[in-house]
Formats: sequence, structure tokens, C-alpha cells
Amino acid sequence: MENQNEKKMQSGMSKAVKALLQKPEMGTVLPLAILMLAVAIVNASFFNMTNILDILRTAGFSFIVAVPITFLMSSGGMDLSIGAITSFGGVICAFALKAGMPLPVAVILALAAGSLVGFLNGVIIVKYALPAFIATLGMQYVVNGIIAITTEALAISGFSDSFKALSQTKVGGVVPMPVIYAILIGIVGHIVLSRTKFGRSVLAIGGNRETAYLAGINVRAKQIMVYTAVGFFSALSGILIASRFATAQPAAGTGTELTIMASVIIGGTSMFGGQGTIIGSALGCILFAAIQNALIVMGISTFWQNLIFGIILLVAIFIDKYRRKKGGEE
Amino acid sequence: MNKVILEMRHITKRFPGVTALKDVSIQLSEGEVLAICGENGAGKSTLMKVLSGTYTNKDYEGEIWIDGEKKEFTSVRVAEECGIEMVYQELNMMLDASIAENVFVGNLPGKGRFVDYRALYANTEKILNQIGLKISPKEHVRNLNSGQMQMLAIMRALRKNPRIIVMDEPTSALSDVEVDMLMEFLNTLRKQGIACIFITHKLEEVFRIADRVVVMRDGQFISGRPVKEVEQKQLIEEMVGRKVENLYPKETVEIGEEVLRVEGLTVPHPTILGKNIVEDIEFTLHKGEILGLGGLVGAGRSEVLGAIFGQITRGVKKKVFVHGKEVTINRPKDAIRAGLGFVTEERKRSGFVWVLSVRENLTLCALPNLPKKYFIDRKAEREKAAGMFGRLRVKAPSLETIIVNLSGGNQQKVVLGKWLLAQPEILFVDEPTKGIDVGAKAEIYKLMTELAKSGISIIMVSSDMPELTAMSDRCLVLSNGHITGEFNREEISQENIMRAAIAQ
Amino acid sequence: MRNKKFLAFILAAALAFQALAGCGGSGDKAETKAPTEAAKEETKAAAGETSGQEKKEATGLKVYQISVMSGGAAWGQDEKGFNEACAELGWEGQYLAPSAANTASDMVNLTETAITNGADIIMPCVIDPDTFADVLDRAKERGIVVIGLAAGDPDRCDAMIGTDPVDLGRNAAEALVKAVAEDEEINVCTMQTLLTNTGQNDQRQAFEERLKELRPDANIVSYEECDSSATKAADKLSALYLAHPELNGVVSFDSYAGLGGAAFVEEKSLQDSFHVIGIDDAPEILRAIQNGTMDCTVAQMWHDIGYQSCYLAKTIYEGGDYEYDNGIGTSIIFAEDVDNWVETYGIDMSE
Repeated sequence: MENQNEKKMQSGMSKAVKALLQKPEMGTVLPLAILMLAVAIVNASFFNMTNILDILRTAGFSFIVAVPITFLMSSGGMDLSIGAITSFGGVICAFALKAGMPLPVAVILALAAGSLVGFLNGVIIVKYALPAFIATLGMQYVVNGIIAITTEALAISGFSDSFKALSQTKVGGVVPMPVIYAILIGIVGHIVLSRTKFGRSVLAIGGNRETAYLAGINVRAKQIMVYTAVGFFSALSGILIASRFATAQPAAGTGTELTIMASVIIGGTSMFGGQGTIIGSALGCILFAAIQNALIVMGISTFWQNLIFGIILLVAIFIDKYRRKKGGEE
Repeated sequence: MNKVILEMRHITKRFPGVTALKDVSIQLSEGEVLAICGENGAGKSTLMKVLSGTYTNKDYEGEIWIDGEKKEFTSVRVAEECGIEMVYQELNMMLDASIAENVFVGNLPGKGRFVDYRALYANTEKILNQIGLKISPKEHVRNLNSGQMQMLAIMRALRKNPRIIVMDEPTSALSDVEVDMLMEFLNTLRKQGIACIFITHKLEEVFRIADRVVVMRDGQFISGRPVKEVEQKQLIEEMVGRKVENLYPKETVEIGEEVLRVEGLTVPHPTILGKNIVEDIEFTLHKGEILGLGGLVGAGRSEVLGAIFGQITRGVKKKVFVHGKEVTINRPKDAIRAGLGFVTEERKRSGFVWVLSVRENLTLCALPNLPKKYFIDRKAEREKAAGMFGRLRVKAPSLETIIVNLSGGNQQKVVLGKWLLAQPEILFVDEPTKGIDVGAKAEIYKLMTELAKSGISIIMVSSDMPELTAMSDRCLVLSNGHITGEFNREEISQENIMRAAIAQ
Repeated sequence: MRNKKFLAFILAAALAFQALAGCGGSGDKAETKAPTEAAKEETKAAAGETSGQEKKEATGLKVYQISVMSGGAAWGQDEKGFNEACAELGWEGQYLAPSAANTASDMVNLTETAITNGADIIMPCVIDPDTFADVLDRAKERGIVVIGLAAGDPDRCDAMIGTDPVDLGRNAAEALVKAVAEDEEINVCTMQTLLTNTGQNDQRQAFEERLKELRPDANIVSYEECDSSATKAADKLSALYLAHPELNGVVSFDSYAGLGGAAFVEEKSLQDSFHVIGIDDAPEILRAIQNGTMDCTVAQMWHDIGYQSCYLAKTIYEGGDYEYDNGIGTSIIFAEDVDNWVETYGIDMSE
């Protein structure tokens, strides 16, 4: 009798575990948990409040872009130009400030410039049906080229305190502003993706463009909107990075495109569209930021860090694959 | 009786949670055509996967005997060595390679690394003549219609000189003429002593070609008899496991006023430049009417629907009147606004979104109709979806099940429900029962009848002759881009439709 | 702002034009010189051709610099100096850089292009001697003068000009020791672009050796890389600081590492206890020194490198005497030196 109960409990447990494994966010939660456990054993000072906030800030910069990228990948798109637009946003804002424009105007101008690049991406890809990979790669070169020409690859520095305050302010003296921005953008993004008609349309477009089009969804307009949003938030991230260092670096965003898209994918958003989770993307960004930090805190030599980083990523993506397989999605 | 060449004995195949095959035994004789019938999920395809070695002998219980010798199918290769070749339902072709290359892929003639193209084309030509296809071996596969592609798939299987060919729904994409050709071809194979197992939903084909028919249901062997000894009704009953009163429950509905008129509809050919697939046709549709649209595959029937609905726009000329008023339809959104709905032929490609749940698919077209402008009112959505789910008797664990996990028939119901929730007055259905099982078919027909009764007008494109003749109030036949026949309920017959379909 | 954009447009148009017109290079720069002078040079060149082989006249030569990036605080200065010297000498000079900074393979391709285009002199930055070996051998076969720019290969280059990495590393050690109080411990990390960067590894080793000489008690906590990202540098430092609370400084061999270090100091308010040694003299670096978030920087004289490379090339081409190593000195800049430095080198520090 007791034995039976035990068995029941066990099967109940394994069921619960299985159900948990089905969650799209599991791909990141598990490696994150293992990482936390390891770092807790080796050096618990990792859990120091300021360190956690440092990690969240780093994750925040990526997450601000990862939110619209989650929409983009859910709709079946991709964007390799986000890194360039990030740099671009910071540089444009810096130029505007140097030209004596007031801060709000400079920020709006930079956001508009980023949105414009995103919009162009959208038009090129959607209207002329070009592959997003090549089109955005081309745009990455174009934008980086414009930055190089205008800045002569020189960083721009020397800004007012009000500009620095955008990123450097700490709410209550503890929480860095970028974390607050990221949380707000994340909440809005989550609601829009999961609770609005727009979000549903985006998922439908990514799941099956033809079906979505026949269902009366304005596919092109929605895709262009998403690309524009990606441009907007990439520029925002660029402005905040420039504010953090009080310097607009011409290559501030270089290389972030791949890590951000990878964070979104291991967070559970499908590479092929139709599925997206903002919470997963948040966890993905945190995982990325935490790995780097944790490896250093654990005192692992830099020579080893890339190897371990790569292995953790592979594990994350394997868990995601396993989950999809079990969920009968493939 | 010819000698038995294949025996599958007591095959049981279990998946986690389900038993897909329960103690199934079948036999096949030399030169025999064996039809296997059953609803989707009856276990036919699983059985064939066992036979083809896709499931290795460790994955199931039971034995396979070839020529009275027990064989262990440890891989697909072993099955092929025993002379068993599969022709799959899902065509797997290199679209931009030639027919010859597709047929001989992996086995190209020639010396060393070089391909002997002359021999390749000659060999292919030989096979093409053998099956009576008049196309150049150099033709790119992309330019073939689905019927020709199906033939090509069989050719690919033939080049290995198999003794047993297994075909899964070989005719689902074929027009009647092509089906005739295929049947003829199977006859030729039979004479050459090649045995054939074919899985089908179409009972007419069973009676035309098969020597013996096996019925499966719920993973079990139900019956196996020579075709001469069975009747269609009996087969259907065995397949669904209950009595089917009438497969086509068409009721006469009072036909009302004109709801749709199309004038001067011209659609350019999708692949041939400068040619029109539909040329300057006009027709009307009335309230409560089911208008059948017949013709051969490639006659432009789907293009008629697509062009009216705004799915196809390039080079299309048309005038569309709804309730006598002209409407401009440049894209599907305009069509939906004008009260149109469109269940397309390719369910997977343009019918549903496979990663979304049943609920999300059901409400896709009705999103703008849900209360609130930007947000989705979850309660309202659930209610709507649940209502339709019940009305259509969709067999799925819940509204939240991802749609790909449903059977074809239930997917089709969801697609229909998706359009019904948008409350159309006019519904286009293109091959509404393609590839779905008999039970679901009957339900779809019943539903169409109900819709017509409630005043919805339907245009139905169908290659299934009995379906077309039984369900249409009126039938138009397309051939060569023109309407070559129009028949009212009394005049509709398979002969009349066929005659018009092959008219020039 | 508008001017800058307009300028950008013109530049882009000019670049496109150059690309269309074939490899015009900076030939037009020579043409802008006074006609008489140009004519004089032509006659000289003609004379050079007829007057025997031993003493070649170095006029109208095709010269290529193959650097690691276009623009930037360091390389931009080098390009300026190079172009000035080319204009003075009447050379057809072209400055080439890979589209992605620091990619050795791309730089080898550019070197290849320069050779194909009939270069008389090439000055590649040999960041990885092994990758460059083959193409440099071919250049030698054709009798092209090869000068290592900032980084060289003694087996294949005629000479090397630039900051000797060893010298730079030693100076970084000296800067650190000066920045730190005598009774203060030294527990620092180094931060370079990538750990695979050979030149920076030489710098690091020289730094380490010199540091041990000056302060045998000094401890190097870890070697880090930041991939030219200030964000990465700052994030890594804060994690490293957590793992090693005794850490009290970073020595950067990458310009953005220094910037990241300064941001780290500012965010953690460690101005008094944490030392940041920067590299080069970009305005944002000098500003950080003024703010007190960076102690000092080791500046290379990039303009001089670019300028003098051409005169070195001239000597070699004409068969004059020269040394393999042509080190251009480095300077350490502390807060009190900034104003003077800015004035001397005309650095734009406008707010």
C-alpha cells in the first residue's frame, strides 16, 4: 500500500518534472540553475547585491534589443544589423549633442535614425522579398560604413551630466537605470506579444506567412513595423551605452547581434518563427551576462572561458531541442 | 493462386502511451494489388513503416517472412534488398534538377566521378515510355504538375527493380485522367509480376484496381477479402466501425437571390509566360447554393478562387459583384471584408499555422471581430473557439493542443471553423476532403449542407467525382481556361462532367 | 552636424568615384602640388630611369600601408602622417584597411592586392607573422621593399617602424609603478584585445618582465581580453574585482579596455584605490585622466610613425643605410601633462 503511494508520488513527481521541461524557458533555466549552483559552491560573493545588479544591467542592455528581436524572430525574421544600429544610435545622439541640440531632441533624433534604418530593412526584405540574412548583413556594412566615414572611427566624448544620467543614475542609489528601462520594456513587450491582436498576428506570420495573409492579416505592414521597432530599440540601447561610458564608441554594438539573437533562441523563441517568449528572452540575456561574470568570479582562466561558454550554450540549445521534440513540435 | 511472397505475422508496435498496431498479419502474393483501407490513425502508415524497415526489427514485435524465409529488417537497406520499395505521400524531389537526375539520384550511370548524361537520359526515356509519360527527361521537376511528380516518384522506386511497391495515397494529388494512367500502369506492373500494396481513401480505386482489400481500424486487422466479394457500403462500415447512413447527406436547399457575380476573370498562367490559365470567364453564385467547379488538375480551378479572393493578383483582370454591387478586392483582407472565406487546397501550406494551438488557429480570421481594439479579450476568444470546437466535433484533447498533432480530418475542421468564425456569406472550398478519412469526410459534407441551409453560398473545387456530383447544386466545368460545361442538379453526372473536362 | 553629414556624403561620393575610376589612390593628391614642382619631379624620374640601376631614384613610387583598421585615434593619426609624407615625396600612397578590424587574413588579401597593383613599397602591420609569411616572401621575390608597420617579422621585412611592442610594454610597467604609491601593493590584471593577438602578447610579456624588475613584489592577477568593447571590459573588471578583492589596477593594451576600466572606477567610486593605465591619446582617454578615473596613458606617436615610415622607405629604396628596428618613442601622460599634450598635437577636446 505504502509502496504504491510512493510509486504514485514518484510518477507524479516525474510528471511534474516533465511538465516543467515542456516550458519553453527551460532551455535557459536549467543551465542558469547549474551555473548558479557551481558559483555558489566556489565563490558565493557572486550573489552580492551589486554584482547581481551589474549582471542585470549588462543583461538589460541586450534585453532592450532582445525584446523586439523576440517579435522579429517570432515573425520568422532575423536582423544582423542590430549591432551596427546600436553603434549608430549612440553616434547620432553624440553628434546631435555636440551640435548643441538639447538632450531630448538629440535622443529623439537618434531614435528616429535607428527607426529609419530598421524601416529600410523592413522595406527591403518585405517588399522586395530579399533574404533577411543578406539584406541585414548588407545594412550592417552600410551603417558601419556611415559611422566610420562620419566619425573617422574616432570615439566621441565630452558630454553633459544630464546625458550621463540617462544610464548612470541609480534608482534609490542601487538599481541602475538600464535595469529599470529593460524591465519596463520587457513588461510591455510581454503584454503586446501574448495579449494583443498585434502579437498574435506576428506569431501567425512567423508560423505560416501564407495562412496569415489569407486570414486577412496585413503581413507586410506588420513585418515592417517589427523591423522598425528593432531599429528603434537598437538605437535606444546605443544611446544608453554611450551614456554609460560618456563616450559614443563607433563599434559599441559590434558583435552584439549574434549574442542577442542567441539569447532569444535559447530563451525558447523559435528560429523558424511562430513561437516567442519575452520571459525566455530575458532569461537568455541574463544567462549570457551571468556566464561571463560567473566564470570570472569562479576564477576560471580566460583561456578556458570561451570553451566553457560554448559548452553551456550547446547544453542550453540541446535542452531546447529535447523539449520541442517531446512536445511533438518536430 | 500465385505464390505468397510476403507475410507479415502478428505485428505489434507500441508507442509511449499508445499501441499503434495490435497483432496485425497480412499476406501478399506475386503480382497482386493489395489495397489497405482505413481511417487516418488506423495504423496503415505505421504498418508500412514496419515493412519498409523505417522501424527496425527491435522496435516492434512480430515477424516478416519473404519467400517463406524469415527476415530481420534491421534497416531500410535490408528491406530494399528484399525488393521492397516505398513511394511516399510527401514527395521528396529536387525541384531544380531534371527528371533524369531525380530518377537516378544516388545511382547515376557513368565512369568514376563523371556522369554519363547520354546514358542517363536514354535510361530515363526508356522508363518514361514504359509508363506512357510524354515529357523530356531533361525537363526540370519544378515544371511538372503534381500528377507527373507522383509518376516520377514511382519511377524512382522502379529503377531498383523491386518486387513489391508500396504506395501511400498515390492518387490524392492526381486528376482523374492521371489516375487512369496510374491505374493502367499498375496493371502493367501486375503483368510483370510486381506486387503492389497501396493505401487509399478512395474506394472507387479499390474496386477498379485491387485484387484484394484489407481494412484496418484502430491498429487492428478488421477484414481481408478479394475485392469481388465485398461491397462499398460494407467497406465503409468496417472502416468507421459504425453504420454510415449516407456519405453525401446533400439536402435540397431553396436557392435564393444572386450573391456573387464574377465577370471577365482572366488569370495569367503561373509558370508559362504570355499564357492565361483562365481566360475571360464569368459566372454567378446564389444564396444557399453549392456550386461545384470541376475539371482536370491544372485546368485553373484553384486559380479562379485564388484570383477572386485576392490571393493571386499579378496580371489578374476581374470584376467582382457582391449582392449586385461591385467590390474591389486587392488582397485577402478586402475579400474577407466583402464577406468571403477561402478554405484552400493545401492545408499545411496555407490553411493553418502549425505551431499555434487549435484555439489560436480557430480565431485567426476572426481577430478583428473580437471585442476590444488592440487587446485580445481572452474570455471572448475562448468562448468563440470553444463554440466552434463543439459545433464541428473536433477530436482533440483540448483547445490548447498544437494543431499539427491533430489528424488531417480534424485539421480540416479547424480550418473550416476558422473561416466560419469570420462569418462569411460566401465560402470557397478547394478540395475540401483531400487526404482525410471517410468518417471526417462525411462530417465535412454534413457541415457544408448545414451551411448551405443557413444561407451561406459555397463554391467547391473538387477532383473527387462522386463528391462533386453528389454535393453540387450546379456544376461548372473548366477546361483550357474556359467554362466548357454548366450543369444543373439533374444534369450533373460523372459522364457529363468528364466530357466537358476533356473538351478543348 | 549638417556640415559633418555633408562631408560624409562628399566623402562617400569621392570613395565611390575612386572605386569606379580604378585604383586612383592618392595620386590626385600629388597632382594638387604646384605644377612646377611636379614637372621638376618628372624630369628627375626620367633621369632616374636612364642613369643606371644601383642608385634608384625614389620618385613617383606606389606605396601601400596595410593597417588593422581605418580611422581611429591611433591609426587615423598614422594615416594622416603617411599621406603628408607621400604628398611631400610625390608618391602615390594608398592606405588600406580590412573591413573588420584586426583580421589578419583580410589584411593578407589586401597585401596581395597591393602587390598585384604593382606596389614598389608595402608597409603591412604584420600582426601575425605566420599568416603573412607567404605573401611577404612573394613580395621579396619581386623586389618590393617591405616595412613592418607597428609590427614586423625580422625574417621577411627589410625594416620595422613603429612602437616596438617590447618598448611599449616596458613603458606600461613604468607608468604603473609611477601611478602607484611606493608602499602600495600591486595586484593588477592586463587587458588586451584578444589573447591571440601576438603583438599584444609581446607587449604583455615585456610589461611583466619590466614590472618584476621595478617591483619584484608585484602580482599579476589575470590576463583578460575585451574584444575592443568597453562594455565587456567594464563588466569583466567588476566580476574580477569580486573574485579578487585585492585587485587594484588594470593595464590596458586595447584602447577600449582603458575606457571600460575608467567606467568601472567611476561606477564603483574607486578613484583612490584602483589604477587604470590606458593606451594612446584619444580625447575620451585624456578626459578620463582629467576626471581622475584613469591614472595615466602610454601614448604612441602614431603621426610620427606614419610620416617617418615613408622616409625610411625612401632610404631603403635608394640603397641608403638603415637599421631594422626603427622605434618611435612613447610618452606617458599624467593628468598634469594633458593640456600640454593636447596643444602640441592639436587634439580636439571640445565639449
